[in-house]
Amino acid sequence: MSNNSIQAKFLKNMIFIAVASIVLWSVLWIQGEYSDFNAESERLRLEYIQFQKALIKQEVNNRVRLIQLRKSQVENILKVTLKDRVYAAHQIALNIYKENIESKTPDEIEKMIKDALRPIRFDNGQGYYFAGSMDGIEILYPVLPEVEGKNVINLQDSKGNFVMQDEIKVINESNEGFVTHYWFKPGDDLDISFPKISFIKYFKPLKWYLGTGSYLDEAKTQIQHNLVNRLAEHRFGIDGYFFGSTYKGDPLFSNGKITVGQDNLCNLTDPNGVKLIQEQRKAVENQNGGFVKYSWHKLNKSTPSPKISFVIGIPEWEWIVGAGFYTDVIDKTMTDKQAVMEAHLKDQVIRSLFVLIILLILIWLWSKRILKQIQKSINIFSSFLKKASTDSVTIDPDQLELQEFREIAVLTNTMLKNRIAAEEAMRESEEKFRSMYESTQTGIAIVSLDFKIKQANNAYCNMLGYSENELIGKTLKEITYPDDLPKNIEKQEKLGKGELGSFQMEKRFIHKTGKTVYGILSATLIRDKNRNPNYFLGNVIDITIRKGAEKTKIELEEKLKQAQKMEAIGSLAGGIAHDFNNVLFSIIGFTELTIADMLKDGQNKSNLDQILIAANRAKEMVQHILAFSRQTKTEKKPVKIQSIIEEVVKLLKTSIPSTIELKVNIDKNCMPIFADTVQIHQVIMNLATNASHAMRKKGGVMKFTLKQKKISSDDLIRYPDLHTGTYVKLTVKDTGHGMSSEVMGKIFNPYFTTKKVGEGTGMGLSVVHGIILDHDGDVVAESKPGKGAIFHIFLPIADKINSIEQHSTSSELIPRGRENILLVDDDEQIADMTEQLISRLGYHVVSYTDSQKALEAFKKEPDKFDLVITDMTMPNITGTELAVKLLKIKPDIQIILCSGYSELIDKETAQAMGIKAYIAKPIALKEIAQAIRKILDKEKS
Amino acid sequence: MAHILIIDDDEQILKMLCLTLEREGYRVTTASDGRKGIKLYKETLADVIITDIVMPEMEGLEAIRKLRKEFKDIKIIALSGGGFVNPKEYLKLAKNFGAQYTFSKPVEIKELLKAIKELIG
Repeated sequence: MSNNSIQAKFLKNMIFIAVASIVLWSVLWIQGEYSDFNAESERLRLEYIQFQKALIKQEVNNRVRLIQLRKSQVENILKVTLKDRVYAAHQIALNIYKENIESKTPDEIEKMIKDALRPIRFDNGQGYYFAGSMDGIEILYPVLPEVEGKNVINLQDSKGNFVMQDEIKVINESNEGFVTHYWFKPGDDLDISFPKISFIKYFKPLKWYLGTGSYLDEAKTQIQHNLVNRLAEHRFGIDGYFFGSTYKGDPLFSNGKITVGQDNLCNLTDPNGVKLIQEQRKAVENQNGGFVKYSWHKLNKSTPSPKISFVIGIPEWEWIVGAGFYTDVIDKTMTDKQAVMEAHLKDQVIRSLFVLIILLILIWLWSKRILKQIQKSINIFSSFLKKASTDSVTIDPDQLELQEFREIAVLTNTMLKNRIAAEEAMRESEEKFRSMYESTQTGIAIVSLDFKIKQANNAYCNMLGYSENELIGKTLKEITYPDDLPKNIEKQEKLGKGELGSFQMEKRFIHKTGKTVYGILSATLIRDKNRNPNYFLGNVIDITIRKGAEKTKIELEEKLKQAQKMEAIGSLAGGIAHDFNNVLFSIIGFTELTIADMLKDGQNKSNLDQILIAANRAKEMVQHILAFSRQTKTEKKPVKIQSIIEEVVKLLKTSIPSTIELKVNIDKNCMPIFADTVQIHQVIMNLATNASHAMRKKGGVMKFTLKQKKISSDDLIRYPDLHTGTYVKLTVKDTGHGMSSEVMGKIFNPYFTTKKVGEGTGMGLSVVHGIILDHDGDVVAESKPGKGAIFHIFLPIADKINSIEQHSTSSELIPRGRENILLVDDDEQIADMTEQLISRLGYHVVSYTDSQKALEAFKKEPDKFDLVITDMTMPNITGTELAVKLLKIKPDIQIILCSGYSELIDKETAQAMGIKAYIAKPIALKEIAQAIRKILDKEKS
Repeated sequence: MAHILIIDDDEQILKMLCLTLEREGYRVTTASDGRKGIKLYKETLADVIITDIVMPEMEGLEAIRKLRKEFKDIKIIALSGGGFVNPKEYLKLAKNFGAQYTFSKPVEIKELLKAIKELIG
């Protein structure tokens, strides 16, 4: 677990740090203490030594001073004595001189003095007078008379001092003084020189100096003895004692004991090889003395301890005097002190350890606490991050106790926000691309390098009629038209090798249903990030429709050519037909005449019969030719006119100028009609061409409307050439220059055209009319100048074979007449239609839309009219009112009331009023014709 | 004796019809185009007019229309050999304009005679 790791690491580290720091600190402290201690002890040591040295030096010096004092005491006495003696001698000499100066020669005087002094002896014969000249000649030397008169300026004593020179020096300096020299004692064979002190005084008259000396050794010895005693027993400090020996190494005293006469110490060596006497001798070369280090037995110990002594020399006696101290005293103190310090340190260390343990415990506890906190925060974080990997959540920084985690939380939130935003952006982009990919009309497919489909978008799948799953794995071979496959493969291979960057080609695909789909393929090679070929990417645009359209166009053009050819033939035939028919008519007519005039049968008659038969055959042939020429491929079959209209519109879109707007409103549910597709196509094209021609200058709107319309008898007024039943009604409307009513009357004429020479033959509308009639439909035109034109085409729907052919052209069923009829109807159109209808029956019709005006016209000539037909519901004067008024004027006037509603009047009431007939709308031609006839006939009879 | 006016640009037909109708006892006058036909009618006020459609100068439809307009109860029979156009079409137009009966050429004489009889009454 991570927290263990953190905890372990943390603890380990903390412990390590704690221990290390304490140890380090302890070590350093201890080290410091020790070094301090050492320095201190060193210092103390040195101090001690210095102190001790100074002490012993002082003590020794003191002793030496004592010695010197004693020595000098002796010396002083001696000196005094010597001085006295010399003064006496001087006096003597002076007296002799003075007494004899006048009487004797210097030499004689000299001799006299010498002789006077020579025999004087002191100190048991040891002492004597001597004299010398200032230039170094020995004048008087009683112990060795041989040297008298010799120059002894270079005379040296046993120590190498130039005796005479010293003496001369002293005389020159101060006329008199003391000198000390060392001599072997006369008579002694021993190799010892003794100091002799002499007093010399200048004897001016003879330029001599006089002197006498004396060995000090006797007094000296006494003093020495005393001193030795005193020195030996002197103590100082704790353990301090004096010691002394001669220069030669003979011991004098030491450590409280007199050691005179004991063995020579020259070979005395300390355990470290230090030769004591020699060292001391060296030290005492210095007048002020010196220190000597060695080891020596302590008073109470067996092992030697280091010692420092101070020795000073008394050269006159060849004494070495000194005192020493054991340095280890301080060492002991130091050791004690060290022990104390170490005890203290140990104490400290224990304390430190104690502190350390406490510290460690505290660390452990504290770290646990911290870690708990951290763990808590980590847990919060973990659970959050777990959630956040799938959902978009944010962490609440305040949940976390620790600042660092809070910061991380904030940053995490930012990161997540960014990630979410990035994901959003990616998703949006992905969606955008996906929707582009899926919704594009261009087929997109990914094909593997071995020509298998790996992925395809909607457009591609739809194009080929498969689902994507079905397509995946299919090879190019399976979906490509065999003839196009080699070229496709070849190009694809080149693409794969890199010989081509991309290629395009038209190719045919095989739809799932087996049909051929035309497409334009655009293929590229997609490489991976190492520039190695990865897969092919193909874009395919479905051009089947275009091809189909092209094909259709070609077919239509072919058909058109055919039709035109046929039309040409037709027109040829048509041109001939008329005359042919006429000719045939004549042939038949005349032949019949001849036959009629023939009185009897016979050869001639049968011959004429043959002519008739032949002529009839010719008539049929003409009809066939005409029929043939008119119909190139008349195949009437049930067909939906919607598709024909759509095709026409499609063609129009490409051919009409952009200033003309096409509007199409087709009821898709219209039933099929029984028609020839090409001809209907021709019809619609014709109307469209006319419409576009009419709008060619200013542009406009061409609108196609298709509805299904039930033709009832009511509609027959408007469309008399139709029959009741269901028709499809195609309206072609334009906003062109329109037509006047005069032009309108001629439009269906075969040769009539408003087009200028060269613009067209004017065939169109008559052909249209012909075709529509042939299909048992009708064409109706409406137009006003400047208001465009509307053409309605009615074609019967193909339910059961319409026996409309049977519609009677014979007018026997419909009664006719010649009478005068007044027609009143407020609806202009109906009035117009009804007028036309009735007048076609032969009647003379006057119609009014204003009932008031009608009344006035009737008032003027009441006898003019045989019959009044009036509508019921009219403004101003209603039908019934009018009827009443008319009856008032001419009581026997016949009135037919037309009404759509039975509300205001019924048959009985009408008849009572004198209204002869009451016809409910909608009225049919037959009905009204019969009604009219009936009334008028009744009236007549 | 009823008077029949025949308008047709084909001389032979005129001759043939003349003979045929006269044989039936009708008086026949002829015109070779619409204009002449109208003029002739105004002069003679024939009982029945038999007219062709496709004619030079004024074609039959025009003539029928004009006549109908002027003479409300005029009796007209229209004939047509068609040509480029299906005769039926012409005849339909003729009906619209006012012909009572229409026939396609070559006409069945019997039918024609029947129609005349009916028109005249």
